[in-house]
Amino acid sequence: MADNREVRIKIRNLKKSFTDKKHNTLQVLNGLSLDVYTNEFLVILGPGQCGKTVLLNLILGLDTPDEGTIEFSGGTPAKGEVGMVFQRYALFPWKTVIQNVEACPKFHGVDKAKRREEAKALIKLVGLEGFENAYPAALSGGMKQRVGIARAYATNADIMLMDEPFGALDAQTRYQMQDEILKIWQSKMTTVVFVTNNIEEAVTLGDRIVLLGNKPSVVVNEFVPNMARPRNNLSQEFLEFRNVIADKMDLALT
Amino acid sequence: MKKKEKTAKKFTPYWLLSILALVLFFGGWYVLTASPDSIIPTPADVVVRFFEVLKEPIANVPLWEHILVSLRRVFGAFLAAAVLGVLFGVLLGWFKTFRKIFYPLYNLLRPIPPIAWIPIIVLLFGIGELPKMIIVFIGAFTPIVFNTYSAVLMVDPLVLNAGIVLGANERQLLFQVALPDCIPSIIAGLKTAMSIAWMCVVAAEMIVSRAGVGFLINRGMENSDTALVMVSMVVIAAVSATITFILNKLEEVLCPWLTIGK
Repeated sequence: MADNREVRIKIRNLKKSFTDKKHNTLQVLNGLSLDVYTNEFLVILGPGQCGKTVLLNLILGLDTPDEGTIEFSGGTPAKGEVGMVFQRYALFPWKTVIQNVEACPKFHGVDKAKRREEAKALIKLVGLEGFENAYPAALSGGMKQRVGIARAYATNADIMLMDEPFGALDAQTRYQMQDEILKIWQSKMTTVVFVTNNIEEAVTLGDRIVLLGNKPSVVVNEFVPNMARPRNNLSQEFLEFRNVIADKMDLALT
Repeated sequence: MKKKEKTAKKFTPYWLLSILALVLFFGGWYVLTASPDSIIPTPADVVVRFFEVLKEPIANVPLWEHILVSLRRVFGAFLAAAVLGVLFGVLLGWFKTFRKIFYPLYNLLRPIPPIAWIPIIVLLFGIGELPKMIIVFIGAFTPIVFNTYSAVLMVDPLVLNAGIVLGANERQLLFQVALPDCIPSIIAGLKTAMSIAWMCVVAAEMIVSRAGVGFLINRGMENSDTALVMVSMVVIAAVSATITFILNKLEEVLCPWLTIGK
């Protein structure tokens, strides 16, 4: 089904290793290949420490691969042209909510009136109206991540990378944020690469789920949950799908 | 904050404990010095001497001017140390080459107490205003550099990454991401520097000067006027407490995000 879709990011044979002070080499990615399609919600599922963050850093250009290529349709984006949502929020503590959201346009020299207006619209979109002038320290985890999401979308990028964005939230908030992120994705039409280690979250969100093996990582499996959204995580179909992935994940870990 | 207030209402009124400690301190002081042949003056003697000093100038200089002279030395040197210290600290923390060149040298000179510099400074610059300010400068510069340098070096890499990902260029990354993150530590360094500067000015004035709070202590010592020594000590404590209070207020204004939930 995916074959007739446009490829937004083409990742081929990506290899990355790190050497520590004692000269031990750790191969993190070992020839990983992956296509990310335009406007899809792609979930990258893998056990902890399997190199998911390394992969995102390579896509962002924060780090360079030892081998392999990452190609974007329409050329490699500059910094600030790919949105990123961090697991530990990475908000600027000295900035208010609205100042955090407008950080990217500010770096790019967009004039104040314009970037304020856009930031306000995004704050409304993530449901933080009335908290524009609050500092991150005054917000709950869920609210902080809403700021993180709004800040990423303020880049106006068409690619959003999300690194276990709800990993630090309690279950209740997590379900709520999953609903919200789908709504935002649908209203903004962006390509999302969402990293998680939670199978249920993967099945709830993904158009496509890519399962990574343990280090050194390659793609070991791909799943397409053909279920209408919103997906009921108690339905027979959902649970069966979840079990199939869980079995494969156990295999991937051994 | 709310939590603290609640416990305070429920249990002990804590301010009473503070008062109690003060009463015990001054009470103890009085008891220990009350006998007529005590060589240390009682609290009452000090208060009496304080009002005398307010009225009659010492060495032809009224008390408030002694304080002003010391303050001028402290603030002049402190401002210079703040500007140069923050600059030097940022350069050390942000630029690796700069760090490799100057950090070992800085680290070597850092442990020398500012007061140990006095003979050399007097030899080089005599006994005017400049040498005293240089001593104070040395005392204030060191902690400002150290706090700034450590803060720049320890900026959360995650916050830096966020800046890069959001499109900050190298300059914006330093001025709009790294430095704002360092402000709390820099202010902490300034506070430490201020109290050290105040200590240094007293020490410098005790050695050579004709005015200032350090001079007052010295004059009291020379004339066996222990009450005057203690008046000077009280003045030093009061001025220092006032400066700390102002710096704390300044911190609240400059770093409003730090006072949330405290």
